[in-house]
Parts: sequence; C-alpha cells; structure tokens
Amino acid sequence: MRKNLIILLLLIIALTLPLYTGVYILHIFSSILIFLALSLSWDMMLRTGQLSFGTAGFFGLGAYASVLIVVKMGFNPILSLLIGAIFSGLIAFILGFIVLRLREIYFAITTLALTHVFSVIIRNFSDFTGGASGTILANAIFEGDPVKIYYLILIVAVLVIIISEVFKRSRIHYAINAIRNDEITAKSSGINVFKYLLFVFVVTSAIQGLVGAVYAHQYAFVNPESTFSLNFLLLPIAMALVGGIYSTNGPIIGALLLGLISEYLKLIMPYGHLIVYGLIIVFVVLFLPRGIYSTIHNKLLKSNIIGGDKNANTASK
Amino acid sequence: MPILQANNILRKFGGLVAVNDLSFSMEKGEILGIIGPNGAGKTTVINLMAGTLGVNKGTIEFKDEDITKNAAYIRNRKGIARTFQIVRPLENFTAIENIMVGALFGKGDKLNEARSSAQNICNLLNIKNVNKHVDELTVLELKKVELGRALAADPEVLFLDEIMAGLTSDETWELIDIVKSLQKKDIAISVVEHIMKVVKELTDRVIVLNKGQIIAQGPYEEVSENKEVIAAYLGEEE
Repeated sequence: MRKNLIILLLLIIALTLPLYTGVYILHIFSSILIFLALSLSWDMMLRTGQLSFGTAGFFGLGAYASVLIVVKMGFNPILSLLIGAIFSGLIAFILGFIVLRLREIYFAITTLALTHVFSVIIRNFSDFTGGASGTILANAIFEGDPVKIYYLILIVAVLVIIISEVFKRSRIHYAINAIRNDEITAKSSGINVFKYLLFVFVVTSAIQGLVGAVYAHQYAFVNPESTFSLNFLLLPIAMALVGGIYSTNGPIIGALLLGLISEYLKLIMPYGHLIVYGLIIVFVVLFLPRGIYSTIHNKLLKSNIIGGDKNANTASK
Repeated sequence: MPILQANNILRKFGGLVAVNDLSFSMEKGEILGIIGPNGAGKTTVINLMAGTLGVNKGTIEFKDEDITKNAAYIRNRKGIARTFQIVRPLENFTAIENIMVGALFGKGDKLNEARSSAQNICNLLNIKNVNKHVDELTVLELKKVELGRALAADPEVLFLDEIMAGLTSDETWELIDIVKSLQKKDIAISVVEHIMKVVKELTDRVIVLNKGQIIAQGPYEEVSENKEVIAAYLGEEE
C-alpha cells in the first residue's frame, strides 16, 4: 500500500511540476528524465547478463532518423519520434544476429565500436546527413514550448518505467534472469536464449532511439559529435550503478540523485562539479556495490520494516 | 519401441574421441544405468542426448523423430530433461522459482500455472524451504531443486548425472525412493552413477562405457561379474 502511495505522490509531483516551477527547473527535470529512460534501458539489457556499451549509438541513430525524416521528407515531428524508435530497433534486430553471438567483454567492446561506426557512417554521408556539421531543424518540437516538451519527455519516461515493470512481472523476468545466471541451465530448461536476448536488445535499442529522437527534437539539432556523445552511455551507466542495477527503482533513484547533484554542483563550482560527480560514483561503487536502492531495500527487508517484495529482493541478489 | 535412441553417435574434443560410435536406446518406464571409470564419456553422452553438445557423427531419435539437429531448448520442450553433475541452480532465484523456470519454458506453463506446478513438484520431492534462496539450501535440497527443475518440464526422458554424489546414506535412500516413484510415471530414466549400491538398487539395465564405447550391457548383477568391466575399473591383472 505504502509503495502505491509513493508512486502516486511522485506521479502527482511530476504531473503538476510545470504549475509551480519555472523554465529552468523544468529544463533540469526534462534532462533528468531523458537520462532516467536511458539508464533504465541500459539496465534492462544488463538483466540478461549482457553489458551493452551501445546506448549512445542507438540514441544517436534514433535522433538522426527522426530529424532527417522531418527535414528531408517533411514528416510530422511527433510521428518522426516513432520512426526514430523503429529505426534503432530495426538496426538492433539486424545487428543482433551478429553481436548477440558474443558474450561478456567481447559484446561490450563490439557495441561500443558500433557506436563509433554509426557516427563515422553518418559523418561520411554528408549529402544526406549534413556530415560533421550536422543538420538543423527549422523548429524545435512544439515550437520549443518547455512545458509541452517536459510532458512529452515525462510520457516517454513513464512508458519506459512501465516496460521495465512489465519485464519484471512477466515470464521475461524468469527467462532473462536464468540466462544471466547460467546460460547452460537456461538452455536445458527450454529457454530459447537467443530469442530472448534479441528481443531485449531490440526493445532497449528502440527505447534508446526514441529517447534520442525526443532529445534531438528538443534542441532542434543533430551532429555526430554531440549526438553520439559518450555522455549518453556513461551517465546512464553511472546512474544505474549508483541507484542499483537489476531493478526499476535503482536507475530512477540514481538518475534523480546524480541529476540533481550535478545541477547543484554546477552552480556552486562550474566545471569542478565533474570531480565531485566522479567521487560520488567511486564512493558508491566501493562502499555500496549493490547501489543505493538495493542496499537500503535489503536492510529494510532484514529488519522487517517492509513486507516481502520478493521480486525486488530477488533482483538485488 | 524405444522412446529415445542413439545411432552410432560420435563426439571428438580435439584429438580425443570422447564418445566413439555409440548406439543405445531407452524404453518407457525403464531405468538405465550408465557406468564406467572416470573419463569414460558418461557425462558427454548425456550432453549429446540433451543437446548441450552436438554430435560429430550419428543420429539421435526421439519417438521416431530425428532430433540430432535440435538445440537443447527444443529437445527440452519435446520432453528430454536433465540434471547436472555439479548442480547448476539459478542463484538469483528461490527454490520454487528455480523449479518454475522448468515449468514456464520446458512445459510452456503460464506464470500462475507455473507456480502451482512448481509447488506440486516441491510436495512430490518433499522440498520444504520453497521460498529460500538457493544459497541458503543444503546439498540435498539443491539436488532436489535441480531434479525439480528438470521434472517441471514434464519430461518423458530424464537424465540424472550423479545425482546421489555427496549425499549421506539416509539422503541417498530418500532420493532413490523418489527416482523409483518417477519410474512408475512411465518416464524413461537414465542414471549416471559411481555409487554401485545405487546402480544395483535402481537400474533395470546397465551399459558400461570405457573410452567412449560400450564394453558390456545387461542387468547389473551380470555386468558386475564381467571380466572386461572389472579390468576397466581396476586395471588388468598382471
């Protein structure tokens, strides 16, 4: 019950935020929600045991696909966001047949390399993509109205949270947890390992594509340097690690915490904030290796303050 | 008519021929013992039959269908289940969740069906700590969870790889009774065992492997007298 209350409260705050805050706060929360969605999508892939470094790559592909389809073909911007998602998902589907044969560090390195390959290809198709200088949209989405953009991003973030929870509560949870734990046991228990890996890879890449598309339309601009920036890989990973991996709540907590701290630090010590930011991540990895959410959750479980939410407990193991 | 049949299967690891031109079959309701000295290829035979490894040559037939090319997960769904010599529990799950995995994917249960199927199996195997994490379970409980996950797929053929190893005498008898009760359900069971007491007690028929080939087969009493078998286990007399 208490859990539902917290969710309801957070949702009300998120929905009413534009009523009592200014553009600056809205902008910060829009950006936090963007990273929250990326962080969750990265974590969803990690639940299969595969460490993907391709987050920035599929983010960039989605951004480019949706911007180019508007600029070159005059598509409706809202519809183009879906095109961004579909395009990233499609590329992930095709590449999945190759990269999902790889495991562990080989998978990680290959997905990182793909990010670079995407950006090189886009840089070199300069007639179509604008090359190194990128492409500019005539208008940001909703004419740049920060409230509408905030609600759009909020919808995307809530959608990703819902997908993550569906994953946790369905047979997908059992399949991907089993695969992460022991692939041979999974295979011997009737699990089509490749099918599940491909499914999660495509879904998470499509999410990253969608988020990239929204981000590009928020700023009305894409270029290889900034759109494929490793910030869209490293920050989501840091957020998930700080908050707690293998859960929905972990990346949410991590994104809110790191997002707010970095904004605050930017104000009190411009550029110095990155040092403190790094120190926080080092501290969490050293002293709370399961992340904040899992550590607190397990403590509470042990002292019986909260009831047996078995799934969450399982996830933190 | 045999339910599962291996025809001249062969498997090499580099230069080593682990299983060499081996043929055998399993019948419904029969417990087949697979014995042999260390390195004879017993576990490899299970790996080949369950699809964990592929064969280099030969064919495998299940209910008259050629399943040689089927992946492990397809064979499991068709009705071939196995346990592992060194138990491989899914460590981020509880006991019952481990068994649910077998029901969900091996049998194709829905989520709510899987929980009740798994609970039934826990009752059958007398697993009490169903909600404990596997790292809190005893060796016997782990073996039962391993067996439970295999059984949850509702198999017609079951391979048990040294399931009694590391158990006390009482625990061994408990598991022997459980395996015998499975035989009554018309499951074809194959046990790889080093404990001869278990082989003698459980099996209807035994095949003896040495260097990947069958050197003797028949009822345990007969095979245990066989000179070649004794030589394989103890070495030739001077």
